[in-house]
Amino acid sequence: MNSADNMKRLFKSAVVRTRSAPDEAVFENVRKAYERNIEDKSTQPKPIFGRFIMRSPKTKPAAAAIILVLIGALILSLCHDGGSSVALADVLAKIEQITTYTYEISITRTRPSQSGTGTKSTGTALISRDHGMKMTTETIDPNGESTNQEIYVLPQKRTLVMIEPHKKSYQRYKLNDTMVESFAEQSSDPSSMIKKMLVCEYSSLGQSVIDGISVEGFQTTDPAYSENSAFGQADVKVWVDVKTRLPVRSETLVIREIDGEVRTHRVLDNFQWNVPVDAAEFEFEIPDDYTTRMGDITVPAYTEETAIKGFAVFADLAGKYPANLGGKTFFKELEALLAPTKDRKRNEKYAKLSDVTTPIAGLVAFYQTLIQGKKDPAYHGEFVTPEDADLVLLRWKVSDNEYRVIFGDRHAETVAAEALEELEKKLPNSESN
Amino acid sequence: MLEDKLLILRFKRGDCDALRQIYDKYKGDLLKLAIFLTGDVCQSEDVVQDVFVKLAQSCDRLGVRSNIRNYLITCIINRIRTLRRDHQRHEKKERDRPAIPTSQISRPDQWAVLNEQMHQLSDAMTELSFEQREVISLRLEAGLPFRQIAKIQNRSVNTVEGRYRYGIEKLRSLMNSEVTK
Repeated sequence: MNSADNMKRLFKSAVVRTRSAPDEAVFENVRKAYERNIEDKSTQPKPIFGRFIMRSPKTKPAAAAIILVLIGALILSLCHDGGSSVALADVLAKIEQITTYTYEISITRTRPSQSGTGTKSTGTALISRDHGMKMTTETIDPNGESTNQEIYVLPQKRTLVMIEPHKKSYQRYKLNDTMVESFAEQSSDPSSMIKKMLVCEYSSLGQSVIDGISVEGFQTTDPAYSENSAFGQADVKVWVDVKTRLPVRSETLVIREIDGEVRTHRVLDNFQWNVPVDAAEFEFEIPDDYTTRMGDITVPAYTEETAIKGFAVFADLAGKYPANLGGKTFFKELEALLAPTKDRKRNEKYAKLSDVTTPIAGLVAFYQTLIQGKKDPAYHGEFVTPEDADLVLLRWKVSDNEYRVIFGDRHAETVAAEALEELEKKLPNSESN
Repeated sequence: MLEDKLLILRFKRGDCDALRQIYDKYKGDLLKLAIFLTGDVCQSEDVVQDVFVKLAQSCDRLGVRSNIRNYLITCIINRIRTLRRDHQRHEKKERDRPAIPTSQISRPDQWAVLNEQMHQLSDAMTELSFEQREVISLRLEAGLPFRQIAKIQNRSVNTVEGRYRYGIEKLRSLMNSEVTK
């Protein structure tokens, strides 16, 4: 037994087989869980929560997500928390009672190509459920150069502004209804983090002391936490004050593969809860000599029309649809679309960068709302071209037995589930082909 | 890989045969991994069953582009870590070593059947620290690169490689002494 190869061979020769009787019994349990899950998804009408999520056309995905989270929180607080003195669901409930708070944020981003400590941003955030959010950050790049940024999210004024004093520039966005309505529920970092953790597999890190405070830590590396995220898989840790049940610190490590390993480590700490807030703190002033690159941008409503417009712009520029709506491939395709060109017609048609980015961002946001709203969306851009009038490009559920479908030629129809099944059989990636 | 993508697609659409295929394809490897990590056949059977049940319950959350093998491996690791933490909280005196080596367990209703090499190897693995067991199992059994293991253990690649080296060294000497007995 001298070489590593021998060890590998030994591992290979070690075998585990399964006995058929217990094997069938185990699979039976798994199958029952699967069928219960499928049944739960398809049985309508459901309890009041299910109806609200699936049927009300006015239901915003954010609100639907909150209800799911609350159900999850209830179940998890009953059965998931054995041995832990702090229930994560209680923490969420406590944060939801808070109306104002501040925290400090620190983000370190390292790339293999960068020497030294990478790019480091530090800042403070002030959040008020009545007024919105204000964040100021300072970023120091690997060359030691410093830049500043101020961000205001003001739901009452339907405005998001980013000001960069070092560049004397700003960018202003007019928020859509969904963004305004979901702000109160989704803006706060700690609570959105905990909402996501609650529906994932998470574990306790046990008790410890941070800055003299007794805390209990929680961690998740569940792939479901970062599922559908373009930002890579996350390792998330949150430490909670065992007395107040409010977060004391959180750490998020995200590792992405972009020409090597890019590590982003984000720490939130020094939380102050229910701090007095002066409305004047949320008033911003843009000096006269500041300029804006893309003008005022109206964030489109996350609707079918927005999605169709996004598809149209993408197809017009690329001659095809994006292979997917998020992730590395999508951003590479988008990057190629935004590359400078000498095509005069194109430059006239899309004079501003936002003429391209806004509809496409609207399309991606719409798709995300379908995922978050669990509307059973499926996207087939990899196989469908703008000429395919009868192939399903994007579909999502609109009622118990009906789906809305955007076809390759971008016309939309509502079809029965059975009809959709037939339509999807025509796709080149269909199992029937 | 393409086969797995198709399986996921069918699985997400409610196809029970797809679930069966996923189960048959991965149960053996997952049991082996869990036994290496826990050193306990009974506990490993529970862990693997739990993981498949969790998979069955989360078919709508699983992305079509997910790597199902990595998903299952990550679930196994998370589940075992959670059990270890709970166990350590309740029994502080407990060390990394499991109480009973695998070779001494034999139940009539046992799901997993281990060959002689598996018994020897899993018993020897119980002499290593949990972190070493994790690195060696993920490297040699799951075939993960060190970079990915480093990510899972939240340690540098150097640390993980060190754990692997020392672990293999110890395992080799344990297996040698077993042979010379």
